[in-house]
Amino acid sequence: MLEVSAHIARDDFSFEVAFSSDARITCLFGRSGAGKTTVAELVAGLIRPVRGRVLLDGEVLLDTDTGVSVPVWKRRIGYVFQDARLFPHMTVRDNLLYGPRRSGDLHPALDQVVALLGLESLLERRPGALSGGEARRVAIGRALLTRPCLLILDEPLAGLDGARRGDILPWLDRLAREGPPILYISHAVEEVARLADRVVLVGEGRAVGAEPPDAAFDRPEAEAAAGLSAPLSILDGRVTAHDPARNATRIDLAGTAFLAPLLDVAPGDRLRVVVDARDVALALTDPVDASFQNRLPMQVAALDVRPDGVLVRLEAGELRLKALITRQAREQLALAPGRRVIALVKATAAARYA
Amino acid sequence: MIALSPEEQQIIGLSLKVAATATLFSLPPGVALAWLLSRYSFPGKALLSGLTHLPLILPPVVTGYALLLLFGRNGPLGRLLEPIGIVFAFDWTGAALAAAVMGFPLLVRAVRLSFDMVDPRIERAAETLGARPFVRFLTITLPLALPGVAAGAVLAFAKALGEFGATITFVASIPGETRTLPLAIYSLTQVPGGEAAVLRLVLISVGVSIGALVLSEWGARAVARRVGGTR
Repeated sequence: MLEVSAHIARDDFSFEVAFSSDARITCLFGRSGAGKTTVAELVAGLIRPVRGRVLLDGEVLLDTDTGVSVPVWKRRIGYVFQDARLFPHMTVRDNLLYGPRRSGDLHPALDQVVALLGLESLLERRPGALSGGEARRVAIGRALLTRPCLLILDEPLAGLDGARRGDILPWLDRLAREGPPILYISHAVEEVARLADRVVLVGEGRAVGAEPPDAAFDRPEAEAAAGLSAPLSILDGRVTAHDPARNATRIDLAGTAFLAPLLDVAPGDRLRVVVDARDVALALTDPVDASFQNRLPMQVAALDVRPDGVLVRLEAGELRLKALITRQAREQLALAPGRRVIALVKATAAARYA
Repeated sequence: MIALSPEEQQIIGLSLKVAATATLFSLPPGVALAWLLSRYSFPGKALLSGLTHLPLILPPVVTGYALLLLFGRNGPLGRLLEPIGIVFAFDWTGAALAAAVMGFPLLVRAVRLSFDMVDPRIERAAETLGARPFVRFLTITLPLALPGVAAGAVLAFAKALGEFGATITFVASIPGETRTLPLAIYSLTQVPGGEAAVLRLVLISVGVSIGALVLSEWGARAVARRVGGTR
């Protein structure tokens, strides 16, 4: 459980931080320069706020009112910096064992961490001889070996090309399942959509409230922060079956069957599907002869009139879906809260993020 | 090379002893001061930096005279230290003190530059891994800067070997006690017919100095390589 409330003042900006989260992965999400790293540095103790409190699992790390300030080296927060910051005069192995040696940990989980992050072949190398992706993996391992109560990952994928991202993404998924709670900094909507359990929006001098991704992305400021041109629906589901012959994967989304393009995810595994609200059409009767592979009976929950159209919020049991339509379409269908409609989603419009 | 005479051996031995002692004792305060100047800002920092460099620009005779006033038998510090058995006046330890003071600015400068090259962000990373500040210094900063520290020590050592003005003013030129290589060369130039002996000592002196310079240059390059992380 991470609880942060603080007022930060710097030369050029001031900043209000207030959120608490006990999620496995909490994302600090916002544009570059919004202050995401500042929030992380506050949690790690690398900067001091004018006033504020930081609690981790109930332990007070900082309280300016009572004068408590646990120094960085005692906080047990693993910080993976964007630039890795490996120690250039040590081998990868000595980098990894740096933390355990400081704390007198005689039985560091070196083998597990090396296996978790695939570092076997790197152990005797020097940091100067590592690629960007390798260096970041080593930095993650180095932080993990301190047995942190919280792991901060600062844009672990930024600046890496596609192949190098592939070096890290699978390890991040494993880390999310097997590692400590993570505070994940990112400005990329696909990373946040893929990984986050809770999202803290950072921008306009604020980092307030940790919400589920679907709720966080529902906010206008999230659209601005992510550079989104339309709202997204973020749907958690489970793979039920594959149909390679038809190039399709069946997914169970909160009790509703959903068809997506063939995915490389084992049946039974959890995954997250993201649907752009512009890719959802609505019909009053089921158009059985149309190509839409997902025709979901839903109910209109609410209507938001926006400059770019009408955002229709739909629900069916636990499933929530957003559709962005024109005002003209709304009039034609006479949409109002409570109205039953069929939501039409092409299988190919379902972007898969996990 | 013709074998060294016992007298030459004694001069070189004394010079090395004086220079080594001077370097060894100025290293800890020199490294501490360099660290302070490299990593912290505080009121009076410019003054402290200036004071450190003072022996570099003052006439060595003035530095020697200041040492004589402070550490002479009747100087305030000299009288303070005499009861606990530390005497500098007209003793080889005085020559070492003069050499240390004269070499100190060079040492601090070289060490400070190598500390400046160590990225403070890497030190921050060490902190997040559980290293308290002193441990962080010992495990990250100092090892990364070590070749630079060595370079500074070599420079200070070379300076100590060549120190003349402050030494002769502070502790005079006593054979076997304070007459180091440069003092011996000077004495020999004052004696008719000493040219051959002078030349031998000059050649020895040049050799030792060049060796020190080469070593310090190598150290500076090594620190750059270490910080780059390619070896």
